[in-house]
Amino acid sequence: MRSRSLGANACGIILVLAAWQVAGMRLGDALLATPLQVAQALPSTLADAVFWRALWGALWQMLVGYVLALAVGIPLGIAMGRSTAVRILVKPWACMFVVVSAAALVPLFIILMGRGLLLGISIVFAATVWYAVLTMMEAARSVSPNLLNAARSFGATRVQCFRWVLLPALHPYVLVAARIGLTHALRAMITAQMFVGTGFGGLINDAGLDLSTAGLFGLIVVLMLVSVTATGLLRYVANYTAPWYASRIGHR
Amino acid sequence: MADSPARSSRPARAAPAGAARGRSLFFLYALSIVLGLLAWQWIAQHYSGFVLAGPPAVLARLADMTASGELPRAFAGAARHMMLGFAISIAVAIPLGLAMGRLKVLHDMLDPVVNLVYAVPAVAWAPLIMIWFGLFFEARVALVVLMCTIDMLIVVSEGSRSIDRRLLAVGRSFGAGPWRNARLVLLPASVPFLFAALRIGAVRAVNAMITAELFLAAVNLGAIMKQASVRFDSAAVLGVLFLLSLFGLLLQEMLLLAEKRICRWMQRV
Amino acid sequence: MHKHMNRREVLGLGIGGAAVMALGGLLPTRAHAAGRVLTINTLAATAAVNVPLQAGLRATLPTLAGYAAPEIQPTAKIPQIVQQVIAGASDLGDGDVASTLAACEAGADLRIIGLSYNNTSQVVVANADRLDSLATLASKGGTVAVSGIGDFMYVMLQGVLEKHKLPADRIHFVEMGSSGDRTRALMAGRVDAVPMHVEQFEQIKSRGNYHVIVHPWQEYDDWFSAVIMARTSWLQQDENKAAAVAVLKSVLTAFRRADDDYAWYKAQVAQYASSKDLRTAGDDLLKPVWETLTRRIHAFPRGMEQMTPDEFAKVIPVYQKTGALKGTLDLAKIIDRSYLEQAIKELG
Repeated sequence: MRSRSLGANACGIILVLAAWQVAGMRLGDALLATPLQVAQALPSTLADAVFWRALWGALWQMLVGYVLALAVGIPLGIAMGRSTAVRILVKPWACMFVVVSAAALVPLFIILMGRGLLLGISIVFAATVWYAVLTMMEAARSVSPNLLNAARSFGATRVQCFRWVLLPALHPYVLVAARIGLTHALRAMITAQMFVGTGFGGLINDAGLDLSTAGLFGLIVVLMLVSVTATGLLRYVANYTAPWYASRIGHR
Repeated sequence: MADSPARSSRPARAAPAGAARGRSLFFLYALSIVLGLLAWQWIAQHYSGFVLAGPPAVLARLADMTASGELPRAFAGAARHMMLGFAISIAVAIPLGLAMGRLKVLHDMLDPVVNLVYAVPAVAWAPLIMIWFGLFFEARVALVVLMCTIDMLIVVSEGSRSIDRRLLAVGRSFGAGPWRNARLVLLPASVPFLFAALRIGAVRAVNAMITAELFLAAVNLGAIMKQASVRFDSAAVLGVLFLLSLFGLLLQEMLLLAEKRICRWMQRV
Repeated sequence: MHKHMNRREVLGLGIGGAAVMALGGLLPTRAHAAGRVLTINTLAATAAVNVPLQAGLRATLPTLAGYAAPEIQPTAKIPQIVQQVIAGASDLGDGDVASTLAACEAGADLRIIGLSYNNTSQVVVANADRLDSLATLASKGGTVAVSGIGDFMYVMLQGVLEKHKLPADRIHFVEMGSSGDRTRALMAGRVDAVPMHVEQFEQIKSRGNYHVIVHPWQEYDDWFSAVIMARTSWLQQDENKAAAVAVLKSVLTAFRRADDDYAWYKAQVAQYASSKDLRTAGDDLLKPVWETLTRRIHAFPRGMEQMTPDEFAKVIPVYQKTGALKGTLDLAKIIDRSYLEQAIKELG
């Protein structure tokens, strides 16, 4: 079963790579380097210590903003899901802020917060927290009343309901919010760095100046792989710690 | 807290309580807006108007731009590529996502690609889109389509996969063929996540609307923001952002209302 | 369309800037040798013409007594350099002349104390198979991608059209931030003409039949692009005055060496240029570029002789015509040669 899945995964990726290769050969490497050319340029990028420093720098700065966003967003979202008052109070602004693109915010934030650590953390926080809030809000609202009623009919107090029924029920959704948040956090971090011209975003900018796009695409591919690996890890954790959710929907 | 059981079982008696409840909700909504604006004003006071304008300055600037016709024109122009892009994304993401949910092979093939594309910030796609679609309207639509489709695809395929198999098994055991099963079991079960996808898509569409104008050729709202930013006109920059946020909020609330209506209609049917 | 800043607002801006600087103090300061660390905001993309400035700031300035290696703050978008200096996030900036003067007209109190480089090294390039001259572009219409509408290359082009009595209304200007993206747009045939640095033009010559349709240094005496600027309030403190002189001494030293010594220039390019292609470029590409920069454009003047109010005044009318500036400035007050003269004196 699993090998068939992996086979299909590989198949999909190979098809995309093939299409990319054909298009790249037609357009030339200045416009669209082919996967082969990217693969050839990649070793020299990976051998450069600057690359690893930049990658690490982007990741840990992003993590600070990300963890903050989850720490604030998840409880807020749950509160909104369970309390109508909190929901009405916060939801309009949450819905408004989630729409604003990180690219539009960065110039403003640079002036307000400078261009150091605080900028990265703020942009990541601003881009991620609202996704966490809205995801948890929907999740908390949709917890089946049957579960809560069953617990209450056995005499569970409000606190016990919260701790032993609500939280475990929300647990898979917390991981969904974490996954969505992680992708947005990484995207926001790179966008901010591209404006400020430092770190991994700065490397992307500089690579864009070269005539061949092979280096540029190499960096983007690395970014994709890092992001997918991180969210894949979260998905694995989700399936491992909340198997009841996975089995109900027929995952392996 | 859990208001659905109480409401549905005693509608008549709940009516006067419901009206009072409705008033207090409205009051809370207004309070939320007022508190938010006050917080904004408080923060803005710490900074000069050229760095961070407060609500009065922003509203005045918005009124200016609306009166001169500049803002409505820009907004209409931006809304064009947003609506078209959103429509195309819906047409692609919903069928494809539903299919991905039901056909494991399709899901396994597309899922890695979708997640890889999802990981990349929009700014990195701009050069590619420029090569394929140019710099103008088609390119903006393409960026909106790219960003919305991926987001919606993820939600729809996840939701479609998560439909409890037992529901479909029940349908089959009552003798429903695949089409009837799809219509009477699959579709109603899909409504929640389909609307969630639409809301996510709307959010992403408004987001992509301005991103496209900032990273491709700057026109309409993106041009206003860039010119204002260069001229230290933070009131205009914030005004455009505020307007876009309101627009996004409006779309989300409309979709929420539509979802409630359709759910009620489906319950009756 | 926007109001003038009054003194109170400028003060508020300064307070906001102080708040920003206070926040900046939260950042861990780098372990440094004894010496002052200046924060200098420069353009993130270092082209061939930007290299001497970077070399002067990074390599020469630390050798001066009392100064450590400065904190160079790269900024991707040109107009934001001036914004960040105004907001107090940086001591000095390598700002573009259009934004600097526009900010002054808006009421910001800035001084131009030096040139990041003289003139401009950008040329307007088109695909020779598709577009043969500027006149054709003006008559048949077309698209030109610039870094920003109202920036110095946009105004330059408008000025050239005006000078040759060519109509500008058929040309569609499009704003694209990165020079790499603009070059790719040209190669993909999505735009008809693009300003790019001379070394970028040398590079794409091998990829197709491209030619230059406008050489700014042939159309103007001097088309100023990037200047070294700072807030007047910052310059009022004695230690900052000395810092300004030190910075200019470093930059002039680098200019003089770049002008005389090709081998030294090449070594600096290998270290500081942003584009990997440029860093690894051989003499066949770099030597002609160097010759153009030093002999034809005079990009690295030994005493920044061109930085005078009169020379700047020559380009103001062009900015006025395009609406980028109102022309209300007293250039003699803004362009301050005193630090430069002091630096020249100290260098001997």
